Amino acid sequence: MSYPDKLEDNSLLGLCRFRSGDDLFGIDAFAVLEVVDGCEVRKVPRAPKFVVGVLAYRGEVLLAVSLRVLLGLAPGVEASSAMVLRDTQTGELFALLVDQLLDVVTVADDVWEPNPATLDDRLGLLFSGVYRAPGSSLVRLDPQHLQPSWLMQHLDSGPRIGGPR
Amino acid sequence: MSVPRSSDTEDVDDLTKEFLIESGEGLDCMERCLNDLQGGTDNGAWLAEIFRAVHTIKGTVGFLGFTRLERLAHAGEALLSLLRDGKCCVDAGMIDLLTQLMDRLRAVLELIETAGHEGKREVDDDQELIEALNGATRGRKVVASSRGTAPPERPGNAIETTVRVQVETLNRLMNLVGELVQTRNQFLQAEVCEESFARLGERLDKVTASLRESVMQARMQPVAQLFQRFPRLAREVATACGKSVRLEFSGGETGLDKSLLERLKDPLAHAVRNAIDHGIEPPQVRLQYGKPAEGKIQLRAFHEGGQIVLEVKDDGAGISVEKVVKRAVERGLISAESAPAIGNTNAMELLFEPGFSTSDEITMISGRGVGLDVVRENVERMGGTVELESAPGEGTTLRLRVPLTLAIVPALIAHCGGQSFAVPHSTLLEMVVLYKHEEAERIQRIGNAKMFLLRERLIPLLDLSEMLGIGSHQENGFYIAILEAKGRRFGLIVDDMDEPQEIVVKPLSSALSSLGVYTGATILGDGTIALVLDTTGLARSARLCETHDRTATVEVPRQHAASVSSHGIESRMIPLLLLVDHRGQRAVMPLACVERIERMEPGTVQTLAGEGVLQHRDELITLEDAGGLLQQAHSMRESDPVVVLICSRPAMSDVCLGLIVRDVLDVVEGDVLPPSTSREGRVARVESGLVAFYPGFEPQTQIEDSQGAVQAKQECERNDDVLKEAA
Repeated sequence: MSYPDKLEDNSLLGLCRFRSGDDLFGIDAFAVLEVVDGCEVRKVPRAPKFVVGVLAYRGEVLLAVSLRVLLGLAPGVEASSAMVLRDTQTGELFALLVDQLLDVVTVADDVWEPNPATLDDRLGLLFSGVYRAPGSSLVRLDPQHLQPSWLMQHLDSGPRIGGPR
Repeated sequence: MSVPRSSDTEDVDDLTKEFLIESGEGLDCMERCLNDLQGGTDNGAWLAEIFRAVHTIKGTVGFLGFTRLERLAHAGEALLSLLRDGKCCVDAGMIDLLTQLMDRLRAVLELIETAGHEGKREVDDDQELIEALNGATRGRKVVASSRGTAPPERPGNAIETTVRVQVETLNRLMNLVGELVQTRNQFLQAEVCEESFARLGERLDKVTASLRESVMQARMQPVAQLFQRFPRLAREVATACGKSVRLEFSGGETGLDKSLLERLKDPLAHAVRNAIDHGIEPPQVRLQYGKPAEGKIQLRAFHEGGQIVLEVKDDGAGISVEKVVKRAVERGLISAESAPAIGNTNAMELLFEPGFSTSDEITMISGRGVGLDVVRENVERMGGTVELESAPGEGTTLRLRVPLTLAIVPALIAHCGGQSFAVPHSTLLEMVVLYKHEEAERIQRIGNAKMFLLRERLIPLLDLSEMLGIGSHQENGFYIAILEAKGRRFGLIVDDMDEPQEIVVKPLSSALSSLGVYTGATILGDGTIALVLDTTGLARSARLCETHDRTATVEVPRQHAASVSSHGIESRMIPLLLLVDHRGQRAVMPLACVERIERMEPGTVQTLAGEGVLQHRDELITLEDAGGLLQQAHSMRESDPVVVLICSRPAMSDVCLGLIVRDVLDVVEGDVLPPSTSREGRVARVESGLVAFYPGFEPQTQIEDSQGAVQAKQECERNDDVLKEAA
């Protein structure tokens, strides 16, 4: 299963909007299988840094990835909202924890701009461009770059990711 | 155990049908791979896949008697083996040839499906194709070898599985779901304060419990289903090799999730084929070595260390380390200089290299070295491991350990640093509570290593909170779980322990399972998650498995001692529980029978219809009180606790019961004496003398061969003498 790259066609795109830290983010609404509220994350000692723990979802135990940790922010203030996504490489489901889930918005591709050249390399790996908006712009996240298998390959070996520094 | 066998004709039909489905899948995979080859991406991996598809067809058709397919597949395999090893390069002509082979194989398969036989219509055509393939094999262009490309991870490479479910089971599920919906509706209408609310909750509880049970049952299949197909395979392979082989099974009732069962089919078939082809010697050679002409292959399945172990054990020639090393040097896997320094373990490791084979000739059955590396790859894909053990002249044991994904296992829930962890019952030998004031006396520090003194033996200790980097809360004391992994015994320090319970093990994401600390996770009754500890992995990360210090390697009694003893008379030293029975006499029972020792206040024992009962792991078990100890305690108004052994009789290991005894003295090692002819009941020799077994708890012994029987009889007589002397 792969997500259509809607950046190239001119249609509108539905994005699930959420906040992590001070920024607004959006993720393709089609990639989000379900939004879970009130989930309890159980820490996993010795897990890779981007993994904040596991949570129970429909009788399965899902890996929970924290966007705050990926962004290099201090963990721990996440609300208990999570989006359930599918890791396209392994077929496993995983949960993305964010500070606050907002809504689903429709954006037009002509307001999309690539990542700013001055962006930190690490964030450049996670972000896939920005949708301009007055006031606060919306950062687009590529679900494939948030999935555990991709993070394991690209981030886990790197010394820079994860945790407050 | 014996495996039910259906009539031969039905067998053939089923086997052929299965073969057609399997081969069809293999060819589909081949087609995909050929497309990718044409695309020019990562060739090594695709070639390995194609090779495997063709190899599987070749392996299976031999004994189904489809000679046409066999010849085609054999010619194709020869070429593919060169391609896979990088000895020949892939070009358009080669792909074309392989496509032709695939189409031909498919055509023959279709013919078999419709007509039931291969047909002879296109014999000449076949010859042409085979010659073309052989020609390509002979006229190979030598290119630089490029080995060692791992196949890419295939997402969703799930084998299409079907489960045969009784209509009755489905009906039951449907009824349960109906009831669930009904209960939900009532819930929605009910007010919280209503009296019926509690009753509804209770009903919901019952419905979900039975629903869960029914679904689980529908998924679990006995391993016997898998074993069932091997007698025929073994017979055919043995005939083809000119050998005579007998298969023996045990543990066929071990339940395994259907999906795992399907995936284990191929690795096990490979293992059996290898055992016959490479392991078992020809009859005349066996006779020379003083072995029975008929080779024996044992297939066993059992739970161990939170995993399911499938064992294929042959009594053949074993693996010659010298031969392995020699072959490895020939194949360029290791250099000639480093060869003498290779240890036995490393030499065994060489066998798992792709393309390795010790067989002197390539046969139609196996021998291209596809066996072991494929077995390991398949098993590792399931998150399992493969172990190979061999004693020259005595035989080889191949052990597949697979995780028990979805399997339900009894486990203890341990707490450490405020988190819960599940410790599978199967690795657990015993639990020790240590109060703070005992710590100095029983825990010794040697350098920075902690050792625990248990029955005159120092056992290395691991502190779970230290290993995982989490805090601990041990105000008054702590628990030590004595575990056994890979034959090593060690203690794991945890803060607290809960009741044993049956847990449903859920798989963990690969990012976590690769840590080697957890085998899975389970969702506890209160909705929280407990991680299932991988005791073998813990021991390994503490480097316990590598240490050669005496304490770790002292003759650790075998965990499955009771079952080991049932196989023969050679190993009868087993751990025994020494107790004082209701008559005040000392008695023993195999420790393996005992699940838990409980001291209870007589007043807290519940009775049901006049019998004492105890709740244990979600079920009620009856208390057996032979000497009326409970009554006595009641009438004397004693408040001394009674001792309840939660155990099961060796003959009925799945029935739990509570046995009330006067006291429990110790755990000792004892030598089980063979059944005596002049006395009823069995006895064991322990350090302090001879002790009788508690009635009904004698270890089971089967004398297998006549030689053993004679030996046993002699020993019996000797023991009778000993007993008389003792008396």
